[in-house]
Amino acid sequence: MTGVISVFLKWTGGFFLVYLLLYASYLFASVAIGAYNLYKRDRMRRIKNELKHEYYFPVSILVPAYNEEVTILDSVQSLLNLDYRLYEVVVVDDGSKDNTSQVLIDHYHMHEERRPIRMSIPCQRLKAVYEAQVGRVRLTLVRKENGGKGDALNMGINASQYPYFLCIDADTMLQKDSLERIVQPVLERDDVVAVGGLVRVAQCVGMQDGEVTSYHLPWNLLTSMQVMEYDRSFLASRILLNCFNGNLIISGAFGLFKKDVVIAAGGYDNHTLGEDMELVVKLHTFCRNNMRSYSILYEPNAVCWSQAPASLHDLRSQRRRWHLGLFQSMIKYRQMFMNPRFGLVGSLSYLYYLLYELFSPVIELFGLVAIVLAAVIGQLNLVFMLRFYVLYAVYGAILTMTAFFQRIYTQNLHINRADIVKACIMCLMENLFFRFFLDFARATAFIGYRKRKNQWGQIKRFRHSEIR
Amino acid sequence: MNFTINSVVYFYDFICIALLVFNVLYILRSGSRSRQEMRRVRAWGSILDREMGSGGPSEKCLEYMERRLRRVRELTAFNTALEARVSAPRSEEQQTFIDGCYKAFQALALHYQHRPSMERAFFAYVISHYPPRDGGGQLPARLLEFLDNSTVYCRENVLQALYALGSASGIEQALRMFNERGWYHHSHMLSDGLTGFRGDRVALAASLWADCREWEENLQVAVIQFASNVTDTMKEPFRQALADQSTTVEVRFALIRYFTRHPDERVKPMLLEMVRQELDSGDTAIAACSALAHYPGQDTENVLEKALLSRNWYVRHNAAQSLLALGDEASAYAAAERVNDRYARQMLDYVTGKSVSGREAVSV
Repeated sequence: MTGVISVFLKWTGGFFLVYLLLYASYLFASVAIGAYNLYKRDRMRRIKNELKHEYYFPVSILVPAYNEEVTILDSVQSLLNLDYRLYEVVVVDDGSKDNTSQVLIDHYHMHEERRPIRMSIPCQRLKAVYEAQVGRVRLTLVRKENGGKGDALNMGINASQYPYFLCIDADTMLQKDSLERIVQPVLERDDVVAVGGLVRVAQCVGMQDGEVTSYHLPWNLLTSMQVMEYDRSFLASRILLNCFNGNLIISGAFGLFKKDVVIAAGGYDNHTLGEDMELVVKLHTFCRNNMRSYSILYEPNAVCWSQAPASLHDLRSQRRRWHLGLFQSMIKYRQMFMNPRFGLVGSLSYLYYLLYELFSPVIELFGLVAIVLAAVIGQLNLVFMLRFYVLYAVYGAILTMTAFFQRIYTQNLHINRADIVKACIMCLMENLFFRFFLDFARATAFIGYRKRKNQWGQIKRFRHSEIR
Repeated sequence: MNFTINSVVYFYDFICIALLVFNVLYILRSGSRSRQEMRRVRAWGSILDREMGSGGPSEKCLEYMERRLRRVRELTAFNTALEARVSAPRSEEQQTFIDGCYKAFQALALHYQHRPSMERAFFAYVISHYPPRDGGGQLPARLLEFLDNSTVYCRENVLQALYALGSASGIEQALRMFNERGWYHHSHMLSDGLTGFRGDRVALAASLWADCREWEENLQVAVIQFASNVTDTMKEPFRQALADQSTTVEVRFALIRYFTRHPDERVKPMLLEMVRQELDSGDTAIAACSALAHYPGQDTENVLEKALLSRNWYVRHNAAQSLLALGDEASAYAAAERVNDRYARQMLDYVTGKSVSGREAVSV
């Protein structure tokens, strides 16, 4: 019996060596390529290698909202001062139980319009349309019956009037130049169907009239660690995957889409928790199946600020949704996997998401079982294991620090020395402890899956002025 | 196995240390870079103050510029310093100074021609912001040399420089290169850029159109959009192009939009025919229905009434809009009554923004 276990442990050790080696190499390659890419873009911006133009195509900004009375005014206000020539803002109230609509109607003196909406994509029943002209921007509020975030976005697409739409979360704040920057890839190439922007944590930033006035790390440890995680993830993997049109996710918090392609592909799926990922994978599938030349790109200079969950409960709930959404999309579009028609998207990207995102909690759990088993039969080299674990955590922390400081310097943000020290500690903590909590949230994601699979994810929101 | 794992651990130890060193160096360099940049801007500022006050750059200054501005960081500082000192519109003193600088810029263009695309783009940017009054002599030809092996940013900046220099032949040559090399450039960026051309824009539109009939569709569309922005003198050649069956759909769209903005009665029969011929399927019928709003007459209304019955939503939509634009709301609804079609009435409701069910908003 011990012999069998020894052989099992040997093979397990080999598997983990390869698994971790691949991940460490991926992380290193992605941070190195991401850092170089950002450095290059920063230089390009400084020496005017950018498409500054009077003409930009008109864009509809879609804001799906459900029980967002606390943040909706801050968000809409940040959308009305963008440096962009022609755009509209469409807020879709998905049957909120609070005063989301009323807050907007009262503040902007919106009036009810009885205009019909062309339902290019089916969605839940429309209740009312309100409009107001705020400065040069047309603000539309669409009230509809509850149907989930994807359904609300589909209604927004139907109600919008311009050929491109930008979807953002109701708690997202845009910088003045965010819209101008996210449309740049569309001007550069003629086959762009979607562009994702950089999502950063709103609790870090002080903003006035769409401009960043201050930057600091929040006192909340959980939020601080998410800052590190976001920076690594958006710097690292997305830029690397962008090199071969391989991004499978554009965050629902900030993404630009070509409307006619989205409509042709069928719009957002109402029956998935990760409607943002589902749409992107659907666009890959739609364009490849129809042999249409396309690009789905990531623009790291387009920045939005979105609130990160501030409590363990909210964070767990958010990560469960993300993991379930990932699971649903991977299962739904499994025909992509290793399908030659999908090229690197179907092999490298899909494999990465499968092994290092979807299966990672299971694999890590399997690793813990192997450690316990090795300890029971006396084959555990505790000193080596601890050394390896700490080294791996330090390695991850340094890569995260690289990502964090790249962001700080390429965006001309200034942080004080205390924040630099805090950032270093957070990077280490994030890699030593935080990842286990995230693994736990993801591993338990399927509990209650059937019951909650069509609900909006709700986390506690704060007015931006109250965050510190 | 232990040896292998230890090797891996040592390897990653090394990577960790290398990354830490990289981080520290990057942070230190970022700080010193901005201080050096400020020093350079101050130095160029004092040179510009001295030379502008003396009526133009001296030979010594030109030599210094030619030597120093070969480095892009010096050119950046020069640009920042000049930007702070040159107002819009420029005074005679400022423009004289800029004109004088072009002796150095001619030589610098030769140097930048062999620099990386990013640096070429910046040199072209500087030219586009501070063009001389005399068109820059050989400069447009040298800027064209920047286009090969370049990025979209470099190409855009070169075009901006050519617009600012007012070089019609340079622009024609550049667009010809775009066509021959198959470089994509957004048609709206081209047409808007061309609209900013500092020369005879009408003549430029005519000469570009004479050249571009065999070019890529995207470039033809850009030229038509440009002409649409600046002149109504292109009706005859554009009418011939619209009548030409080999003209592609996108170009026809652009031409119809031209005739929407600059109506020509001779085009009306063609527009009516497009709607009649392609009532249910044709893309050009969509644009033609929209254009007909500017061509009043009973024949137009008859065709638009029929278009209200089209199976194509956009044709119905644009026909309803044009009917409303040509007459009052009542006459448009009367037309919908005459064709006796529920969808036609619904489309008019949609276009006028009326709800068919009263209290609630509706879906169409």
